[in-house]
Amino acid sequence: MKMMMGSSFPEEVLEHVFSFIERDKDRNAISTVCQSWYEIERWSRRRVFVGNCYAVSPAILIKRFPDVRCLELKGKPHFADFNLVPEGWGAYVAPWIAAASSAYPWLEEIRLKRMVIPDDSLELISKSFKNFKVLVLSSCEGFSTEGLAAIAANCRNLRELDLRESEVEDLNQSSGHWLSHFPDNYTSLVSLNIACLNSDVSFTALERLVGRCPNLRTLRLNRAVPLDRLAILLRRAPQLVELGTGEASDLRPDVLSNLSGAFSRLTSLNLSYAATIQSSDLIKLVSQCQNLQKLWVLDYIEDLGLEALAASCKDLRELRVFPSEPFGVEPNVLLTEQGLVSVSEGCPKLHSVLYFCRQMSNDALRTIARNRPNMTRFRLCIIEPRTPDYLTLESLDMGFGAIVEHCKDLRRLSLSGLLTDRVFEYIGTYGKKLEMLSVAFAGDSDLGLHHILSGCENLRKLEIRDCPFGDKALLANAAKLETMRSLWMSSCSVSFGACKLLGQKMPMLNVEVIDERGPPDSRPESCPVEKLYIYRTVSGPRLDMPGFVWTKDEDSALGLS
Amino acid sequence: MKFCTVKQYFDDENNNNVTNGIATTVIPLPNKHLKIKANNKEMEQYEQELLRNVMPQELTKLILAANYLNFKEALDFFCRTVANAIQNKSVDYVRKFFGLESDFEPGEEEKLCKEFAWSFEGVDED
Repeated sequence: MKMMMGSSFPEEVLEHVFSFIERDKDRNAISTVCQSWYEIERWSRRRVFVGNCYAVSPAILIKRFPDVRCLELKGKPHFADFNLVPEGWGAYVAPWIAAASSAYPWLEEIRLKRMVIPDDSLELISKSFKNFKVLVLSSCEGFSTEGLAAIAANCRNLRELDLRESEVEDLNQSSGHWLSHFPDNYTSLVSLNIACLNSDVSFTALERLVGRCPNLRTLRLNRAVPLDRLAILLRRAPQLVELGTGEASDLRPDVLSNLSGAFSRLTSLNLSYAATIQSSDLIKLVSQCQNLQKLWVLDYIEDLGLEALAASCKDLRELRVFPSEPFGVEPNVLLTEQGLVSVSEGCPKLHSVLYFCRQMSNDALRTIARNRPNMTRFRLCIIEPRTPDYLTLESLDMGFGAIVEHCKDLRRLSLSGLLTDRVFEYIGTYGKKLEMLSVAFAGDSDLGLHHILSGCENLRKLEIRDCPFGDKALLANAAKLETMRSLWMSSCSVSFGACKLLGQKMPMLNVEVIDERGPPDSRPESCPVEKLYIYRTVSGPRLDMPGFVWTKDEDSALGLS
Repeated sequence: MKFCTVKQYFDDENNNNVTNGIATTVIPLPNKHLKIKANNKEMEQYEQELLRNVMPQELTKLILAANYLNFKEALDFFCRTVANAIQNKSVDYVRKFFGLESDFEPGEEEKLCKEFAWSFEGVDED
């Protein structure tokens, strides 16, 4: 073991070494070396990620890291995307923005996911941070185009405005469309994503904005911008490498050929909003994108389109195929497990998959696992719950078992289809690098949950719905919960009594019982709770809980508040 | 600018920290670094070689010399080398590497560790 004379290093040299250390894990390690390193590190940390906004408070953050430039916060649990988290549950970012506005005048980047952000906060951001560059709002809500207008008008150095899948209220502004609030001398835009906006876009304002921003590389537009207008924009900004489009109602051959040059430069394509491009057009389009690394598309691409993708796009790293008609009973497209198998065969760099389909087989899963042992994220969503292997009518335990066994670097896994406790045994045995697991309508007993909690050493997030998991496994693995960020369980068999016990046993956990049927103590303790959200925290029980959330309260005689 | 600083340094008789041997190593290094900048793999190999062949105390002196001489490229290179050497390592490894000991109160370190793990952890996708 080498020994350097660490104590003879002047502070500025140590700071210089630290400036090359970016990963949070490494920064956390160096800050615990000794007291002086702790001090140097905390003053020089510029980028902070808070995976659960209730795990820590703004005050604690600011006290520890006085000069943060990039802040990333996450709020609601992932299953909020499936409407499982009731309206008003929480994840309010206003207190964070208020605290940051006075503590971090040099803040440059704010990234939020699943949080509620009001227009007031957007305005505060636009006026508090002179060097503000990046705003990413992913699946957020609570704001309107008025807040966006404030950002456009005041953030002179804005490089990135990304609204991902946020819900934005469209307010008719007397001062004109919010895009026109970018001043004429504003030219720093690099990335713009407004795909989620339901409202009209002022094409004139957009065209002028695109035309005067020479560094624009990413443009994701909404339904209001048809494909032929997109061609105009592409001519104004030939340097674009990432493109996403809304409604493509008129994909004529001549329009397509106009765009072909641009498409071959694209590395990322998001067509998941483009509801009217049909399979043959998709094939033509995709075959021109030889440099594609990321493709998000609707299942209109079908197996044939995915075969074409596998043949043309050898650099593909990430594929997401979304369902065009998720609530339809019968399949409306010719998309099966074969499409995914083709891509797994043809694209050697493919490591991240989200795939919605209606049929799957253990054979296909085994093939995919063997083809792509480099898989890191695998989310399979067979639309109908408990669907068995369509060839053998057996469970899909073996197929998913092959995935976890062969893909040794798998960090993210979503299960679906007919699954017994067996699949959890495989996951507990092989899923040693697994960090996040999503389970729905699976398993037979508590043993399933026990396998996961006791076997998956690196598990950080676990979300479960509609599974027969109850008190036993949860209480037996209580200590494990303190090593994870969070656990979500809804429509399972965890009793209110077990929740109370867990809350009492584990002081560093917030055990939230979410039940819209009324106070849980108005029912027998053995009654299962509707929803359960458990997360570790250093800031104690939160103070902004709505009426349908109960958590332990030491003062109350009933043990709940 | 580099050579001016070096010349001044050698003219300064009061400064005994940097021997001729080390100064000689420092000067050619940045040139080599610049030459092989294009090839990342070669850089990595060179870094590994450096860590293996140069005694830790010497590496310390090299860094301090580069810092004193205001040799930005050399300083960047050495600091990056050291940073790479301690990436993805445990706290104990880092302490041993630098010859440092923990001076936290008992329990304080554990508390700090818990706070990090819980509040300021690594970025994930999803």
